[in-house]
Amino acid sequence: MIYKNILLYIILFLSIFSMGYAIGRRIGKKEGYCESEIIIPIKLKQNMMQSSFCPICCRKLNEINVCDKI
Amino acid sequence: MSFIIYNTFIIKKFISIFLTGIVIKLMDDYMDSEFDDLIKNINLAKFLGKGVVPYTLFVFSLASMLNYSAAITLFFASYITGMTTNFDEKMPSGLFGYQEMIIIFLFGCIVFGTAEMFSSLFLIIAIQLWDDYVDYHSDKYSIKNLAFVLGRNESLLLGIIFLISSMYIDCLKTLSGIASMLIIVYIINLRSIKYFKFENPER
Repeated sequence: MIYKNILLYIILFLSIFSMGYAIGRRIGKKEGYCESEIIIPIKLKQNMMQSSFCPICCRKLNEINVCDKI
Repeated sequence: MSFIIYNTFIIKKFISIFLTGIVIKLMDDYMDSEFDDLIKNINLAKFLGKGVVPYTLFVFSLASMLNYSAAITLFFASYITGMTTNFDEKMPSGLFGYQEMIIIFLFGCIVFGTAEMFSSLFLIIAIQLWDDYVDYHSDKYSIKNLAFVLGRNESLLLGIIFLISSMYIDCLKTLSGIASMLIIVYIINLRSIKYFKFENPER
C-alpha cells in the first residue's frame, strides 16, 4: 500500500512538473521571439559598423567601387 | 530468485510479453518497410520477406497460449498507439482511425477489464515516447515522431509518467515489458551490426 502511495505521489509530482515545464517553455519561446525581433536589427547594425561586413552577403563594404564618381 | 524461478506464472507472463514485443516490432517494421527502404534503415520484415505474416502469427499464438490477457491487450494497445498518427485517415475497414481506436479500446476494456487494458496502453505509450525521445536526432525524415510534436523533454517526462502509471496498475507487466524492450533492442542492434558488416561492406 505504501509502495502504491509513493508511486501516486511521484505521478502527481511529475505531472505538475511536466505541465509547468511545457507551458513555461512555450511562453519562453514566444517571449524570446518578441525580444529577438527588437534586439537583432540593432545587433546586426552594430556588427556591420564594427566589422564593416554586410550581414546579408558577408562582403566587405566599400571595397568595390562600381561607379567611378563614388 | 528461487521464488521467480519456481513461480511459473511470472515466467509465463514474462515470455508472453517478450513474444508479444517481437510481434509488435515485426508488425511495425512491416508497416514501415517502404519508408525504411527509402532512408536505408534496418528492417526485420525485409529479412523475413513473405514469411513475416506466418512467423508473426505463430509467435503471437505462442504468446497468447502463455498469457492471453497480457498478449492480447498489449497487441491492442500497440494498435491503438500506432493509430494516433493516422487519426483522420480512412482505414481498409471503412472506419476512420479514431473510430477504430475507440472500438478496440472499448472492446479490450469490456473483455479483459479496464485495469489490464490501461496498464498495457500506458506501457506501450511509455515505450513509444521513450523510442521517439531516443530517435529524435536520427528521425529527421519522419513527422510521426512525437518528440517533434510535443518537444523532446516533454516526451521523456510524459514517458516516465506513463511508465509509473503502468507500474501503479501492474508492476510485473511493466517490468517484463521494459526488460523485453531492452532485450529486443539489443538483438536488433546485434543484427544491424551484422547487416552493415556483411551485406553493406561499403558502409
